[in-house]
Amino acid sequence: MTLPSRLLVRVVGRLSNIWHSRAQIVARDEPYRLRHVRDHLEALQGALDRLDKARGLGLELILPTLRLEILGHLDRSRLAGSEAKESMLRPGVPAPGPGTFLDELRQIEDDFDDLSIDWKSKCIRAGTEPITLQDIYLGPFAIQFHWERLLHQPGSDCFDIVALDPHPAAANDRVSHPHVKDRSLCAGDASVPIRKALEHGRLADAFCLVRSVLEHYNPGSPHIALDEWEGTACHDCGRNVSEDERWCCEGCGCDFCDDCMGNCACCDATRCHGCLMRCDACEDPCCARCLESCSGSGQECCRHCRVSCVRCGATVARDDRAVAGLCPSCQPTPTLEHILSEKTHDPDLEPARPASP
Amino acid sequence: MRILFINNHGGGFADHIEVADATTVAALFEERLPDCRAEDFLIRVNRQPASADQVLQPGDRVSMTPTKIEGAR
Repeated sequence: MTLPSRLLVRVVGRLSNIWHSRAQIVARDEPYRLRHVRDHLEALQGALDRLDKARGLGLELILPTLRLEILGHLDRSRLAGSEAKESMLRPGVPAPGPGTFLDELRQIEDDFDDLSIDWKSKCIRAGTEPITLQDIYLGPFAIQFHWERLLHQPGSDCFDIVALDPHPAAANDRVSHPHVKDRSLCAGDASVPIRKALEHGRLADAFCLVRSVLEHYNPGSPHIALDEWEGTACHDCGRNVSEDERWCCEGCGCDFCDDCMGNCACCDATRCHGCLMRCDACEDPCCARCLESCSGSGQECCRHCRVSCVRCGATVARDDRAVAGLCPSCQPTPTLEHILSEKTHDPDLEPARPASP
Repeated sequence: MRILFINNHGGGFADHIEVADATTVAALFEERLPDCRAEDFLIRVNRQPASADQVLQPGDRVSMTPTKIEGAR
């Protein structure tokens, strides 16, 4: 759709004013780039401290996550350093003239399906084609450039990415794209080019760069990976579950849904059904830590069902321990008189008494 | 001759550069982005799509924008 000329002229005027104001701000406030570097370096230092601490405590499982976090901080620090260096070496960029913005808007009109102006939200909006990444349909997106944000900081933060036919991640409906959360694009490698394009008033290039991020998937750093987009499959029943519904079994480390998890009757630890075993004596579900093999009988019993023989100390199931706290091995061998005596008093062996008259 | 070259890859700079007469779009791409593939870029001359063998003219505005960029989180 072509913008009417009057509207086009009005937008061009607005954009010229914004870029002119921006140029004045930059002239007064260039040190912010150096602060940006310092902020990233502080964040990197914090992540390094956490890595050292985790290593010291032997927390092996968290190390890969911390390394990824440090890699992210290194990338951002490098980009921030590059920007700061460039800003110190180059003078401020003069504001482009109205003719430039007219050309930029016409180019956006040519490059995108639709271009519209939202005066209420103070943004320029253009739509992408429906986007599918690795067979996951994400739908079309509206790329919204909010011109007043340019006054604070030119960059991908000036853009909102709005899903027009939302297919968010099952685990988090705020993530509409692997690199978009809460409408905010994490531009990654496009951060600097987008910033540079906006600084120079190359609005069409900035829109194209945003689209290039949306149409590509970086499996190394998504908000939610595409292979988990539909949710995490329960390791037992296979049902997809969101992050809130997902349980991690402390025994095997796999993910399960609520229905496929249980608790140890002894220590209350959360385990999947495969990691819970029945006590041979009481048949309650127990984790491997709470079950122990009885030395006397070989049965797997929980601590409630295990007792020690008072003579030899062997553990036996409570039911197997006979009178006087002795295990079957320690019980005295019955004598012939004892057996006969027991048989004499055995009601099953006694003759039936005649019924009373 | 002098042209305006806009490189939206990496640092994303725009600058006037000197190129030899009769330089084509493909030759400029090879010279400026030797490690990249042209099919992964949107290349325009004076805001219009350009063919690889298009010969550049003095004062041309040439932009090269990657179509595949890795986002982050």
